[in-house]
Amino acid sequence: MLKPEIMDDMDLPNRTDAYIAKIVAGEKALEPKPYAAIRILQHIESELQARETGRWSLFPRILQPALVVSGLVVALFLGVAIGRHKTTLASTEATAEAGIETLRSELFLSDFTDEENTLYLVE
Amino acid sequence: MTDQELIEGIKQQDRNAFRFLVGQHQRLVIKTAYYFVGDMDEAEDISQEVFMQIIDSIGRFRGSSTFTTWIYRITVNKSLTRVKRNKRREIFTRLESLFRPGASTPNLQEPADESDPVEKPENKELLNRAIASLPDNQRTAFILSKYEELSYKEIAGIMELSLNAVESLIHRAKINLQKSLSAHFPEYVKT
Repeated sequence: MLKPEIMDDMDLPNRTDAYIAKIVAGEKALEPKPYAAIRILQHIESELQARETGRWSLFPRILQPALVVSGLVVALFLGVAIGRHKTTLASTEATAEAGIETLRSELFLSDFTDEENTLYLVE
Repeated sequence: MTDQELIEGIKQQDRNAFRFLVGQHQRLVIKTAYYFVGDMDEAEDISQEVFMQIIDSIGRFRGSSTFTTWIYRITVNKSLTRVKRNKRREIFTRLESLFRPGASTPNLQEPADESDPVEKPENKELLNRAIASLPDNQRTAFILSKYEELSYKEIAGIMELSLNAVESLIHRAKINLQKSLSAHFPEYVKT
């Protein structure tokens, strides 16, 4: 059971408080592990160095995605421009073709194209 | 080195100042963190975060409180964050164990044997759990008062509360702890 001096020392109103006080006293006796300060300082140093390195590596980290995105945008524009040029060429050809067709039909030239190219020898 | 010199040194990223800072305050930081998390390795881990935070935010220290009070405040905040993270992890582990055959969770309702319950490690764990179940502000006030033996005025400074508020928090924390523990150790509770 609890020693009377613990009850007096802690000046706590009841037994639960004394129980808590006894456990707390045990916990308070615990000390940090040896060389904790050295480990903390090592952590600080490595963290600061990592940040210093990270600052320099920030440039390629930003530049790389920026280059990829700008490359994609250029490719997209090129694609659209080439596509538009092709469409114009195709429509010009189609218009010319249609014009020729109209001309041929108006001049009955189509008849000649279907004409048989067979030669009949007359004796 | 005075506090002012130390603060200036930290601002200049002076390694000697860092060494002095850690040397002077590591015990306070690690022990305070330990009272929150109950594990020395984890407390040391928290202390690393605390010192990095001190170095990072030294520019924001205006001197409205003492340097030590400011360090306590950072330590308490970091510890509470860790406790919350641990709680989430614990909930996840418990959920996981429900779906794992043969797994069992520790039974906290086991009756105490005839020996002094204070001496049993599982009962220390029980108190730690009872403290952990307190609301954040009650737990902080209780730990700073009972473990760190800080005055109500110092606690008020760390928690940025009035003296009356601190007094009330500690009183409520004690009542809540009594309620939690009386279920396990009726022989220790005043009738």
